[in-house]
Amino acid sequence: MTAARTSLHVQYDSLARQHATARLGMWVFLGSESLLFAGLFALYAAYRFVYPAEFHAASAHANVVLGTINTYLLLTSSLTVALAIHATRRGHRRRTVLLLGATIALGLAFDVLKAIEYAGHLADGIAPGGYYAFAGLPAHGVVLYVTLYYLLTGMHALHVTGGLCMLAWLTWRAHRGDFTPQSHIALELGGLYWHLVDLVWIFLWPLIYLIR
Amino acid sequence: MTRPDDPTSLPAAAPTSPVRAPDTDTDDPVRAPNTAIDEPYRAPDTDIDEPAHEFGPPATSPPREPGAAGYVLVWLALVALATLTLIASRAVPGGWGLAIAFVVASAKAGLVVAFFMHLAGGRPIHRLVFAIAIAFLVLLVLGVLADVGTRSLASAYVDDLGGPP
Repeated sequence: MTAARTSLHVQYDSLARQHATARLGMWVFLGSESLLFAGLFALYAAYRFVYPAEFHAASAHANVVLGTINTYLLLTSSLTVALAIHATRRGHRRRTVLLLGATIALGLAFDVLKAIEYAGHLADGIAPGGYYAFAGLPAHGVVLYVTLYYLLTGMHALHVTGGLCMLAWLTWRAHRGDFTPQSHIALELGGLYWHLVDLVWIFLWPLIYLIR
Repeated sequence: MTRPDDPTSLPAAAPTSPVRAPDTDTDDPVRAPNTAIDEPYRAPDTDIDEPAHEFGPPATSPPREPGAAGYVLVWLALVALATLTLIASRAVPGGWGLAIAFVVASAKAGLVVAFFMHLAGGRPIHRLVFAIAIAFLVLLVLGVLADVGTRSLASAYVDDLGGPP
């Protein structure tokens, strides 16, 4: 069967109009996602303002190498997902699947490095809230940085993992031949979500790892 | 408009759009006239040609994209800016280092949003919706910073619990 598996809902008179609505809905959703992270960023800003020296000292123990590698991984995964959609628009199904696979590999590598980073911190006693037991720094103020570190990066890692599940589904659909150059709205919106995950990390990376 | 009884006919096909021969071998069941109307309709044809609009591109056209070379250029710029952030954070300590990191991060975010996410080539309503969300984000962070930044001033007028002394 070669017909694209795209259903036209009854209230639209064309797929183009249905896709235009979906696109607008996605931007509204991305706006609400930004506000989800805004609350955490505001918390970070407030506590960093109150405890500048403690945040400075605590960030010296962040794993800059892993954080920086993850930055380049996510930036590159944004490129591969954009190229995957470009390939679909040109009608290259095999290239689309390969580029989506590359995006998934980069996202998985991000999650693995994040897990290694968490394991290293927990082994040192750098744990959130009342579990903080790091001998190198007194808990005062520092524990707020550490807790926000887990909250911010944990919320972001959840988004990466959710995005990976979505990308796997999109890869399967691309492989099945669901997407045509004219109709691939699920792939387009999935790409937007993945770019948002990249966008959040663009701000997290300097805030968590690079403050001096 | 009313749904055509024949599911293989093009929905709202413009007279000028190329009309394809209806697929007679699709596995779609023939829709009875009284079939439940809320059932998703599987379009036999995904041709999305729109009637020509007199003013500008139609609102339903997909966003323009920069192309493969454009995407690679944007990626190179993002990698260069990330490296710049890393160097600046080591070379410029203190508040200025944070300010530089934040400006560069905003530039990177602008590149991603404008080109990878097609906001530059999309509809104005997309830019409006996203700009409002970002404006509220900035308002929230600025409001919180204004609070913690003026606590020492406020201490002359209120006690620790926030009430008048």
